[in-house]
Amino acid sequence: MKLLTASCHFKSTPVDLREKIGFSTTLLPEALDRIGRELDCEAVILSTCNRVEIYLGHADENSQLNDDSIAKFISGFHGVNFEYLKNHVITRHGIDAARHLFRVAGSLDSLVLGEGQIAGQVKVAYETARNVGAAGPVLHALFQQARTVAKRVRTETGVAQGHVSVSSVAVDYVREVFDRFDDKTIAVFGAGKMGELTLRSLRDLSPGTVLICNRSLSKAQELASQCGGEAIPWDQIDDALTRADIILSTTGSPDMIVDRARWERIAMRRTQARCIILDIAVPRDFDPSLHNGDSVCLFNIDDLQKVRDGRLAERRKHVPQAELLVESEAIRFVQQWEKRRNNSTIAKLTREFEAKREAIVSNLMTRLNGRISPDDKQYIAGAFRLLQNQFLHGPIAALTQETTKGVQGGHTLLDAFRKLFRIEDQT
Amino acid sequence: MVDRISLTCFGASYFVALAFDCFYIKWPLRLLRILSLAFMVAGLAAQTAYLAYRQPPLVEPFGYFLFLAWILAVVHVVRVAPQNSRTISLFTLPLVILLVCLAWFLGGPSNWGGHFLSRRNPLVNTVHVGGLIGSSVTMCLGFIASCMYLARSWQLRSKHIPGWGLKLPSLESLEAFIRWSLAFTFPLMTAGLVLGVGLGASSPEDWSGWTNPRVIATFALWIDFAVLVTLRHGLGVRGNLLATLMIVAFGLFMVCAILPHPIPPNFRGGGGTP
Repeated sequence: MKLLTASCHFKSTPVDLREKIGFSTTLLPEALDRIGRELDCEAVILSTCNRVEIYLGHADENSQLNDDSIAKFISGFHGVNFEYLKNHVITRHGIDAARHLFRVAGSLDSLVLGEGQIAGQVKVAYETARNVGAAGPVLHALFQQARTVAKRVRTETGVAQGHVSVSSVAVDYVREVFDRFDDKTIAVFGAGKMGELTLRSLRDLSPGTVLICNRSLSKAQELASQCGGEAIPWDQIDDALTRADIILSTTGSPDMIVDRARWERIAMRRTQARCIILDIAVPRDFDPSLHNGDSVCLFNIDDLQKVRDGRLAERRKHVPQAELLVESEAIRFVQQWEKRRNNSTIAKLTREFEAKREAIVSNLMTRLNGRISPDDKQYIAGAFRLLQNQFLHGPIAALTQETTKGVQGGHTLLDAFRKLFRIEDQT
Repeated sequence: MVDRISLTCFGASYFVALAFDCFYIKWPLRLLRILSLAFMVAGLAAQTAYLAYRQPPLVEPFGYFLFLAWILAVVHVVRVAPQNSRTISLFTLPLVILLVCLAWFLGGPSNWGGHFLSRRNPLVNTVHVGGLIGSSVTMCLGFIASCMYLARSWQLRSKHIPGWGLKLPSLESLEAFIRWSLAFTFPLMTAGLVLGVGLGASSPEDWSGWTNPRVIATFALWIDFAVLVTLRHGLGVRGNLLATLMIVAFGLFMVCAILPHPIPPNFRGGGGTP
């Protein structure tokens, strides 16, 4: 088996080059087809905003694939200078290539450690290649195992624990205060991009009412129509604050909108037991002293980012455990592949010996016909079988042992094995 | 065999179950959950056998605390143990263990109450004791919810990282539970008290009087709950204050239950029959 990967990712390749060599979904089938024809191998292309990676595989160890062949292909396909590209392409072979894919799928090589998107992108890349007939047995086995590794990394280590986006951290806090949301009112102040993103996460909770309050009523109406909410004029902000259980504030106001005195006036009118305020505006819209962890839970952008950083730091603690898992899976992948190849050789050898033994025993029985009893016939046939098993046991055991030890010796021994017993290559 | 079961057997079982739950929170291994549940069920079986065999009278603190602990242990096994999160165990099991310890500590016959109750209408007795036991159970559950509420509120006040540390229910659901507990405790306690006063008034020769410390403490507890209900429904008291008042009321309940039973001079412990 020959396995090769060429990788241009966010750590090694500047974004302008990544933009040029990216494979859009429309380009992918053509690119896969061309790789297959030009390099005569299996191929999978993983192209995301953070990386462009090409995985090549060939069942034949002596295939002509080399480091330059992929860079040449990319340079030719995208019309990029070969020498410039070559400096940014990282190539890996054999077990290193397998390990790299497993790290990528397990999100150990991602910009945001443990993010969940990459496993899906790896899956889609493989399925695209399979659909156009570019992926064969080598890459099939590799990508199937990559899926298993990604799942194991996510479930067996803490690399993917907790949400790390600001909007999902905000939702986590909301869930610590409230249980049901169909009777809750969300009030959004400001109609900026950040607010829109957080509101999208909050809307997944299926709140009863969404109020949008913005200085520009038309903008508020626009956002309200998008999220099925109710637009409120800016001068009615106190009414919205009185009605709200969850307040999301993202205004660009240079001054604080709600100070303690204003909040106390509003609190007198409120009937709800508590409210949670997500103040992600800079400068802040709400007086931080309102936070008491009971009737008012106020979290600003710093609080949410601190949680995000804390979770990422916690994820990083689990990287060594995840790396160990990836390493063991990479070794297992190579061993299984070697075993599969060796097994076919062993099966063929055994079949040939069976046929030869049966022919010899049959001749012998014809010659001795009538002179020996059925029991003797059975004994002689058994003795020949025993001889064959004992004769083959040593070489087969040695080959199997070499496979489990590592790949280097396995190849030499397998080649010697094939030559000694005159076995045609089955792979 | 059953006569060899002591308070130590099931008390220790509950303690080991609590220890496994603590370990589970740190290292969430399924085996630890199973072991915790196994020890909890074993403890509950032992306590059930103990109560069925010894039948300690409920009018005495020994039997009262044991029966209360048994009900809470049943609630724990049925409602808390099957859940993935073991954090609630950290609040329910210590209370169960505390009640078993109190029973062990106060182990001995009481001179108050039992002799006149036994002569009266068994149905009235049952309703009287049932009302007080029922209110005690709902009060204990309210106390547990209040402790969890304060813990959750502290987490939010200190802006902890969501999902880390103790995994508790939301403030909203905990407060709903406290309100539920208050709504059940007060009428049950009132019914139990009214019947108790009626029973005492119907046999003045045995009635030890209004100055009995337990009677005074129980009325103080009732007044405390009446105030609590007024604060909750009349003035709309909520959140941390409601939870704190509930904990204070529970403290008064414990004082009330312990008051007439000072440690006997010949105290040896061991949880023998009263």
